[in-house]
This record gives sequence, C-alpha cells and structure tokens, in this order.
Amino acid sequence: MTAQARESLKYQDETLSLCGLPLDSYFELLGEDPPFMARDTALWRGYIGSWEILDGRLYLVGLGGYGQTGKDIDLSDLFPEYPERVFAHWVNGIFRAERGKLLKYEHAGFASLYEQDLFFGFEHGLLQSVEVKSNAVPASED
Amino acid sequence: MKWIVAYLGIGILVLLGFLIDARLREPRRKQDGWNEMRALLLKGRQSWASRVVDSYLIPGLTALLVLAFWPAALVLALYMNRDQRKGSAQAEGELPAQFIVTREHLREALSPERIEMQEMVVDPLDAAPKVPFGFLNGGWQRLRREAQEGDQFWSFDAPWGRYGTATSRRVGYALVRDGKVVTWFVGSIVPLDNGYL
Repeated sequence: MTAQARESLKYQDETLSLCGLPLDSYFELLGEDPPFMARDTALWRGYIGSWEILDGRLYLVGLGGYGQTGKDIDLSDLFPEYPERVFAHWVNGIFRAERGKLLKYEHAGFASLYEQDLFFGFEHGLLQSVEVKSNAVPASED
Repeated sequence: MKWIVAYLGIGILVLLGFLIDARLREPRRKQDGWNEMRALLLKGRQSWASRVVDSYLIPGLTALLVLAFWPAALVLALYMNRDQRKGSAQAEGELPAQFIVTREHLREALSPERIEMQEMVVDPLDAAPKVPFGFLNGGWQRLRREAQEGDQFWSFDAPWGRYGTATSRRVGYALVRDGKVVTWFVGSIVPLDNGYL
C-alpha cells in the first residue's frame, strides 16, 4: 500500500504528523460507514483531520474529506453545531505522532521512520500520558 | 437436450434466489474496498469503460458462472451461511463472527439515572453536547427506548476483534430482561495491550 497522508496534531505550539485515525472509532461507535471515499492511493480513508491537544483534551479542529456523493465534506458537515472544534470524548488508546527528519521511507501506510516518535495516551479524549522515543542512530566517533 | 434445459432452468432459479437474497441482505450499496480500488485505477471517474465493467461485464460474468456451475455455487453459499451462524459454537478463545454481548460480559447492574450521571460529557470549551455520552447520545437514547418494565441495565466489557482475535474491548451498557441480554449500546472502544491505533 502507498504511504498514507498523516493527520495533523498541534501540541504545545508544535504541529506534528499523527499516525493514527482517531475519527474512525467515532463511526464505529455510531455503527455507520464513514461517508468518505478514496480518490487517491495516498489517502485511502478519504479525509484528513486536524487535531489539537488543549489543556489536556483532544479536539478535532479541522476536516477535509471527499464524500461518496462527490461533494467535499468538512467539520461543519459532520458536526453542524460545532463547526470550529469538537471535543473527541470517544477517543481511547495510544496514538503515535512523528517529529523531525525522515530517516527511512517505507512505501506502506504509516511505516516511515522519523527522528522521533511521540506516543500520546488518551482516555475518553483526555490526555493521560506522553512518551518520546528517539529513532535517530547516534553518529559514531572516529 | 432435455437434461441441459432442466439444468439451466434450475440454474436460473438458483441465480434468482441469490439475487433476492443479496437484495434482502444489503439494500444499500456500499463503497467497498474493491470498488474503491477500481475507481482509483480508472482515475476515480465514472468513465465509459468503468460503466461497462460495473453495469454489464461483472454482473454478466457472475450470472454465467452461476448458471453453469450452480451446484457448486449452492454448496459454497450453504457453507458460508453455516460459517456465519457458527457464533454459539465457536472454538474456545475465538470470537464470534459478529459482536455480541453475553451474560459473561456483564459487570454491574445500574440505574439509567446513575449511568447518565457518570457518562455525562462536560467540556470547558463547550465543544461537545453536555448530555450523557456526548455525540453518541443517540445510541443511548435508542437503548432507553427499548427498555420495558422490569428490565435491568447492566454495564458490560467485552473483547472484540474483526478477525477472530481480540484487539480491543467494547464497553457499554446492556438491557437484560428475564436474565437474558436483549440488546446493548457500545459507549467506548478501548484497544488492548496498549496497542496504538
């Protein structure tokens, strides 16, 4: 599978690439198929979401997607009464974000390797933990 | 010759049966993985070639195959149907084909008022409806409407995975009537073993 476009995650004034799909579980809980369709092999899910962690809470703050009816879908289409931001209370689990330079490209999903991985743990949309893992190999001394 | 006519006649009946069954199972067409891939190969546009393939070639070939090999098609359909009904006879440790809440998943009996109090979503930026389960409130309301006098609400916690192996827990509330789980509402999905999504 082609490498997939990442979601964006704003955390402490820094924008990271999010390698996870927090919106997917929302549709699974609703028992509905997502209303998006793929128009690009680098975006099988048919949408890109923008997320933000603010005061320890995860918010969906932007959305751009392709609808199955051929119409574009944005945040106000999915959440008409919350067009600016949505508290993602349905999100549980650990999500990985990337930071830094690309170290190794993988032509598959979110498998490419960057200098750092950040793991954000959420429970009902509330941030529980943040861990940073470095992937860079230290330069050897001559 | 008569045998061929009889064979094809039965094949037509089998084909009609499959068409009716498919229509009853999935009245709304879904955009599944195969259709998405084909749409992309054809640049995502409904080109002439795509319409011919979609509307005539695939259905026509499928119909011919069923007509020609209807005994095998029947056996395959029966086998797949039996496999789907295997839920209660799953091997130990295997998950059923479809998610189901059973008595072993039940945790605690609670009043609906207590459930609503503990599941109220409150956000300081008012970025979610201040109701039980927030954006998922509709599912909870459907569960409440199903309740009859004497029914109990129970919390549940059940493992689940699409391919037979548990990858997450589904947590929510079930309606229990005369000791049996009648229906349920899944309020959250929790990945297992810190697996990240």
